[in-house]
Amino acid sequence: MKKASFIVLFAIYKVLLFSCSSEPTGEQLYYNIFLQTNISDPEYLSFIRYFKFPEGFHSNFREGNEGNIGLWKKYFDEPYWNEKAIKSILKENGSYIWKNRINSKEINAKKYINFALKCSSNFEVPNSWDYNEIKLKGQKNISELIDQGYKFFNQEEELSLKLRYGYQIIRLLRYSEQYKGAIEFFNKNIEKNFEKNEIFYYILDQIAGCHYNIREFEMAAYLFLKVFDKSRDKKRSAYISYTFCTNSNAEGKKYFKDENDKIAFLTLKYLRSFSDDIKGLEEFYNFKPEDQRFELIFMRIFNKLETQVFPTKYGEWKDQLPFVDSNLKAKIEKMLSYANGNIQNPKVKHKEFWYLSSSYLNFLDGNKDEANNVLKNVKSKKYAEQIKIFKNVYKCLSWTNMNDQNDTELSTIIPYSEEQFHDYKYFVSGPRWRQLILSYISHLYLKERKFAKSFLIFNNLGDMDRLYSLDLIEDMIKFLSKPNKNPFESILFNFCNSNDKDPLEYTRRLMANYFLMHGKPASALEVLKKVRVLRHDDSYNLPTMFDSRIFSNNISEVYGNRGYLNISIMKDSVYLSKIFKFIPGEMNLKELAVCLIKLDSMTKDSKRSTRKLANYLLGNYYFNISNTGAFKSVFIYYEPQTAHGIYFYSEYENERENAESLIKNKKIYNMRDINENFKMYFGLEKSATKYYQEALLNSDDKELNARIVYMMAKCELNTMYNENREFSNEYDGTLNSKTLKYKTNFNRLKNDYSETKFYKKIIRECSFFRYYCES
Amino acid sequence: MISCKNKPSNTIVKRKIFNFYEWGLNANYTDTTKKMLDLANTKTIFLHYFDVINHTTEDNYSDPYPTYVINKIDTGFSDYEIVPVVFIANSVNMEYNLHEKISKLVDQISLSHFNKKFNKLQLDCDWNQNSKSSYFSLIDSLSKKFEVSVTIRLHQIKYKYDTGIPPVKKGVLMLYNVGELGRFDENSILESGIVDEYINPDSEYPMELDIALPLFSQTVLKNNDGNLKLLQGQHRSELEESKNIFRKINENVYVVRKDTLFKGFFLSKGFTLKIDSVDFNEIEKSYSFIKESKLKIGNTILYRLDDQLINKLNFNKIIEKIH
Repeated sequence: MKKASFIVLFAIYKVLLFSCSSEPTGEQLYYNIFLQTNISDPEYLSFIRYFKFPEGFHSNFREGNEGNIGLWKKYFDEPYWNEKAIKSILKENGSYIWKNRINSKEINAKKYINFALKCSSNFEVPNSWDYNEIKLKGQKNISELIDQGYKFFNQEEELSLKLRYGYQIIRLLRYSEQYKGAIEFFNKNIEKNFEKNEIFYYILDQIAGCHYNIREFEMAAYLFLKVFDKSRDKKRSAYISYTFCTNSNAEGKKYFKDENDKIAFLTLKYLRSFSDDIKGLEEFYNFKPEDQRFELIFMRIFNKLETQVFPTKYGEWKDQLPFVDSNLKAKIEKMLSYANGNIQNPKVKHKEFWYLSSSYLNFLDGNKDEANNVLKNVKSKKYAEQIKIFKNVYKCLSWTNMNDQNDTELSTIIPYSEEQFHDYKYFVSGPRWRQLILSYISHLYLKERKFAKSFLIFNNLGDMDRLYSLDLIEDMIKFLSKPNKNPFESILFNFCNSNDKDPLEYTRRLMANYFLMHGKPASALEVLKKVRVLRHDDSYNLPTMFDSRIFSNNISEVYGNRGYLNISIMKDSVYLSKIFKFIPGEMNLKELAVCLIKLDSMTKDSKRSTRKLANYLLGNYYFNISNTGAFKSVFIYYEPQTAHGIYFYSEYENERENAESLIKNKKIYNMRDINENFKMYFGLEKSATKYYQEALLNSDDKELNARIVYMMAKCELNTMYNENREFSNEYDGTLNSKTLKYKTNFNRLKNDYSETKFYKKIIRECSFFRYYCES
Repeated sequence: MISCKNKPSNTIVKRKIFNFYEWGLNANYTDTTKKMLDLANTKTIFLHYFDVINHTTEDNYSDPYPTYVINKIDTGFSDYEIVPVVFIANSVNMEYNLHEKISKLVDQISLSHFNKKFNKLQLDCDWNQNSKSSYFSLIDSLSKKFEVSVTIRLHQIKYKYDTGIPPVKKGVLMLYNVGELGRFDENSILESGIVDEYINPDSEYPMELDIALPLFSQTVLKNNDGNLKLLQGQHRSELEESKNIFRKINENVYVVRKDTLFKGFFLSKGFTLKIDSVDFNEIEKSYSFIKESKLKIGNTILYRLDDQLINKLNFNKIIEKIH
């Protein structure tokens, strides 16, 4: 059974419930440039917003018991008792460590630890689904344990062990709700008799809890503040407990004795997330600026400032980073005055922290030269990484445009990595400072219409096929074809290069696809002239061959998986007529473009019947490649995750602007998240309708016309799905005010063509139409 | 013959039923509670039993466990129909046997306090497109034993094609906490304009919906950086009494004049406080949007049973507004 520590706190639930915050959460959303480990006292690091322990840095800190472990080391004073061994004996399964350890110190320690483990098992509540267990929280054997604890406390002569027994007794008293008894025991036996070490503050934490429980909130607050200030292990829990005291308007001020109490209070007060940043700095600075805890408050506010000058939402990013409005400028200047004040203050010992702060604040304030000058005063090796980060960020964020020189410099700042070859993720998963620079560079590229470079920083080349932005495709061809690429361009180029895929071929075919969907087969043909491989190439899964039935049509609906081309249902055979003998049974992209050009020219033929049939075939083509057509996946490769396996505009694009429009209208800061804004709806059913209407104008053949009107009804149904989310998932043919406007061709078929053979066939086979006629 | 004398047939008026949510670790039944429930013609109490949330273990594995489990239930509640309510965090791993665990604990609590099991159960979960499949399967499993109803949020009505329809016969539409906390020009608890964005005359849902209306208030704190915190209750009298500390900007908004410690928060000059209280007109308007839609409306449930708050409210006014 899994167990969780029994935390005796007060009404935590409500506090958690009502502690919502509008701030972004998660370290990954935040550009931390000023490293949090720069502060002098690492004990406070866990209080800094979004702090994440770097690899290998005080890894045991997060366990929250290193103060206790330090005391045990001191007690044993032997190499055998290293951190690992001590950690093991503090757990229930660590008894093997005691083997062959027989000196009196060890025997006494073992006796104590066994007792402490017994006590702890009473304070742990199992995570349980059993109501009786949940209600019975740790109320077993307490009195027996207290008696035993008293006995051991009185017997033990070694002071540090004696104090530990005292701690267990007080814990037991508190958890059995004998608060006054615990306080009395502390006053009489502990307070003045022992060294004020870590365990002493463990005890004080318990005593503070007792005062809280007997509603002596002011005393409780004062003692929690003491624990927060002095304890290493209980700092965080005391901090939380103190906030509960403030719920009862208690701050502990009544018991403040000296300057240190006030500093501890200021530290705790301004570490709380819902406090006034600048006011906190001001108050602290005016009181004791040389105290190292000022660095902590400063760092915390610095990190918050970073979330503001480098907003986490890209929509908020302006042309120039850092983003500093008048309010932020005032804040930066105030912080700068404190940092510079501390540089001048002879009482301040850790000057390098303030030089680093001053440098960064100068940069944020727009004084890059001064930022670099101040940075020269930082010499310690431990700040080498910070200095490198600052220099790189200062440099790159000062660029206002990108050119070969900047590209080359960038390639040294963010160099090519052998291991990460072919993977753009190298850029997006690196340290935050690097991501910040790349985000900004991607923006500069975008601003200069270097779409390909902007895109490739954050995306795979293959993501382009879901975006279908002509601007991006055109620039990508330009970029890929560019001779003599500069070093950074070469890195980007490497990301799109691979052994089995030719990026240029892929991009050109994508461009041809674009034209073939937009009624520009001649433009497609021009592009395809430069494509070498038109057959038997599986690269990027692009279909290379097209069946001539792409010009046919069908009566039944073709729902289902997009990857499934069910062309056996294509029954209409007009495309097989002699006048269309130029259409091969199987075509590559180029041959398809040629056929479309020919058909286009035939729509202007002097013979009416030729115009009729050419328009009819083109209508079929555009319907077939639409998202309800039988060839729906030939140009759209991205597989949408929908129940029906079909992409509908109403499900995606009407809720977010597509990439093509965002890029064209300069609505984005950079291309980091662009691949979510895909474009997969091209209004192809509307193009089909135009051709069908032309075919009708040129036709007196009632049977063919009936079929054309039916195909136009299918186009209307397609539009209905694309325009209305509620029908895209499920539609049973219902007729109401919303659906009737998409039935104009059903109406036409019913009224004008009821005498045709096609009508008799379709009313039998199409349940939607049958339902329409019967209603 | 005698019994009919004082009972003219045309005076029988069907009284509207107002049921209540009881949401706390201790369900207290006082004289005030009784009076209120009588006045409201309450038949059913929706009694929150526990929450199910993820407990993360040391090796970062998450298991669902109950928390905030009800501790005490006064016997006075035995006179009403009880529907146990279980809140399930959307992030919970709704593993294959979670239904058995929930079912067992619900029965244990019922037997412990009422000496009997109940056959109804309400689940409260803000499910979404990602969690719908596992949540609906949990509902299916629990439905083998209980008559399950579920809470439904406004977005789940509007975007039913995304979020799906839970496999139950009855739901409760929650008409509270609909606004944005940060908007100091609107009420975050219930703003009819927001309800109007989600419910229109064509709105429909394939099940009967009880309507849950708010009977609570809260205070929203905003600091000088625009960050927000929420306090339970409205604290209007304390704000009014400390005029040297709080300056009234309008009916519901106050600005801090000088630093103070207030309900556990260090407030600095310039911080603002907004009181969100129940606005009967907003309840009436919101309710009318629901009535004008195609939604099938059942009873009304008030959130929540709180003696202190109820004492301050003109409860007759609510009854008058919702009819």
